Amino acid sequence: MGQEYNRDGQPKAARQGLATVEVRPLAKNWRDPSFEWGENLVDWQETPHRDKRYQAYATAQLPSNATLSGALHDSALIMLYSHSNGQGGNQWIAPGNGVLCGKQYTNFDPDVDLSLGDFTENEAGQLYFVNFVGCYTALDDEEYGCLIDAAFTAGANITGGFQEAILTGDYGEMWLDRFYYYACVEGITVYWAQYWAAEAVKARFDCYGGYDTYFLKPWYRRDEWLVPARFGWAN
Amino acid sequence: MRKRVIWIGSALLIAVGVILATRGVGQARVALDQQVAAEFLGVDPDRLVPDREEAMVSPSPWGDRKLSWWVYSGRTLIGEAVRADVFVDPDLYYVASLGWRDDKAHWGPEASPDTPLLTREEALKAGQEFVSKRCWFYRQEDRLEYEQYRPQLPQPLWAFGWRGPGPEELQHYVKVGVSAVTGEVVTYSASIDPPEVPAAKPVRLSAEEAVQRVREMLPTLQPALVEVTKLAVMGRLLTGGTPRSLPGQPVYQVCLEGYKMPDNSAPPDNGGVPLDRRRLAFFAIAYMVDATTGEVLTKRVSLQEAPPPGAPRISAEQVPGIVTTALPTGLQNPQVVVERGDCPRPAGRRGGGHRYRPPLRLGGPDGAPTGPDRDSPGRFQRRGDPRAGWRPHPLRTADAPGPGCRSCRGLCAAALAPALLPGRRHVRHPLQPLGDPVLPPD
Repeated sequence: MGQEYNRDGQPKAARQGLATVEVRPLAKNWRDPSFEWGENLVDWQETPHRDKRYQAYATAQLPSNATLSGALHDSALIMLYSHSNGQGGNQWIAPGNGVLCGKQYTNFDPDVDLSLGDFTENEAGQLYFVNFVGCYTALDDEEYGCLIDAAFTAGANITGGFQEAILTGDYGEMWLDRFYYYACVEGITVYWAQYWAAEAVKARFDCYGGYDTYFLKPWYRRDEWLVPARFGWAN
Repeated sequence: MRKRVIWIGSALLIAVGVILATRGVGQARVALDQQVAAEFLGVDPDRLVPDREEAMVSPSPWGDRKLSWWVYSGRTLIGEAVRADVFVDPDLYYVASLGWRDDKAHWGPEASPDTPLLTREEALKAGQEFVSKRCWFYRQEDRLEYEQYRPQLPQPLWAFGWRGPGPEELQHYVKVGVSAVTGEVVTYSASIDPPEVPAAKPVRLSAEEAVQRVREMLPTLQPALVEVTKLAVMGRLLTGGTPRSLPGQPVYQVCLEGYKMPDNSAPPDNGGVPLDRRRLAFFAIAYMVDATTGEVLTKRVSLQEAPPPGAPRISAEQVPGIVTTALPTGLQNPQVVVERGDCPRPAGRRGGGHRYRPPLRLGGPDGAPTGPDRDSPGRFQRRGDPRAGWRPHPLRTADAPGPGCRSCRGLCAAALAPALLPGRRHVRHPLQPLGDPVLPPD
């Protein structure tokens, strides 16, 4: 692990006066190209209050395992919006090529697949929040492991996923748009951002579409918030 | 002797004045939304400690309204510690959502496999009792529209949601999360929503026919489809508009779940041998099917393109004139500024409907507010309709009924008028005894 960060998300070296370079935490967001998402992800980097915001990247292509691995080592926020296998424990990255999973599975291919279980404890200690937006991403799977457990062990302070299938298309777009809309309000907690986003989906479509099954790990950090921007700290 | 009487009288007058002034100042510090939150929590407002001096205003998930947000700490009248996120809708004066914070009394210890859990009926009763006491527009007759059991940690949770008509022509949705371990309500949310939009077109398709239409379209809609695991209509017929349908247009939602090739390529010919599901992508999506024409709606529509049928055509330029005529005569140099926004109130309801409910700012020539805004007690002070069994809003004063306006019946700026009238800025909060007015903060 490289740079270390304190509880407030500030680099420890900077606090000690050893570094004065501005560090804006990175937020990297990927989605399956066939999905849509709201514009509030982009708002993270276009807002005038840049000093409080993340340096955000939102990409309508899924990453390779190497790209994702790099992001897990240098970003504060990660969001992956893609398909899973329908049972939990993984999400597709780089369509047709590989998956991100909680542990190595039977046919694990290190060239294309990436296992969070391969990370040493707190190896990704700068990670603050990892958002797995996909069906069953909060579930533990016998073969693939559990994404949110593995991300937490790898160093993320908060991780979240869904316990059931979620509807993509209009539902997914609205949930993501609302989630980041609320999460960008200073002080709104992760818990309330996901709660209100689900209620907004319900108000619009009369169904939650699975978005009422979001699960945060660890539960005792449900009152954390995303802005002002911050890095994670050692669990 | 006379001097002594005058001296004593003066001293008494000064003492009474000091007491009244102190009480007035103390009450003025309590914003009405804080009072609403205190009433909801069952806490004396004076014993409730917000985490900041002023409420943070955040966007509401329901329409264009705002929520004022506080994190409160305090103790209830029976000494129970309270620490909660409380969001109050300052437009309509109700607690929009609440969640207890790190409070063992509510969340309790983490459940273990041998922890006795509440049954559905027990949890339902606990939830109903909570909302009956805390939510002024909830009624026993409300329809249980949603329920879910989540076997999660730290505690399994029962969630219930009720929908019902009212207040007045509006509708509401109330939801609680009940801990299956302690029976406490740990999350709560409520919304007052626009009334149902009636279908402007006839419904010619059955739910089964809607499913069939999607089934026929599958090769086009999902060319990489390998296996369908679910194809069914979900929810009720939507008439309020979606990203792919206009308000008044009835649509079915058909849910499709299944597996497809992860790279969206056409599935290979595997000689009849099923592909390994673990190497496929699971997906779920809802398609909107027009209940009149049977068309699967794949293109987006803009609500700005076509107004609801029957909507009166009033330009934004006309609005200030309409509002000004509804303002009280005593207002000095009012300025009405129109900010464009979508009206959540559809056509076809009583009064004819209008397309927009522009948020209106009332201000003097220098832009400074001349009347209460966030803490205006007049925003929802309308007479309930006793024939329909509505209770009036508890903050409504008997002597200051909101007149509303013909098209909006109280949700527009005209409803602010009584709050701006001299002598009618006092509103009696239900927590206060009779004759003990609460002053809105300056």
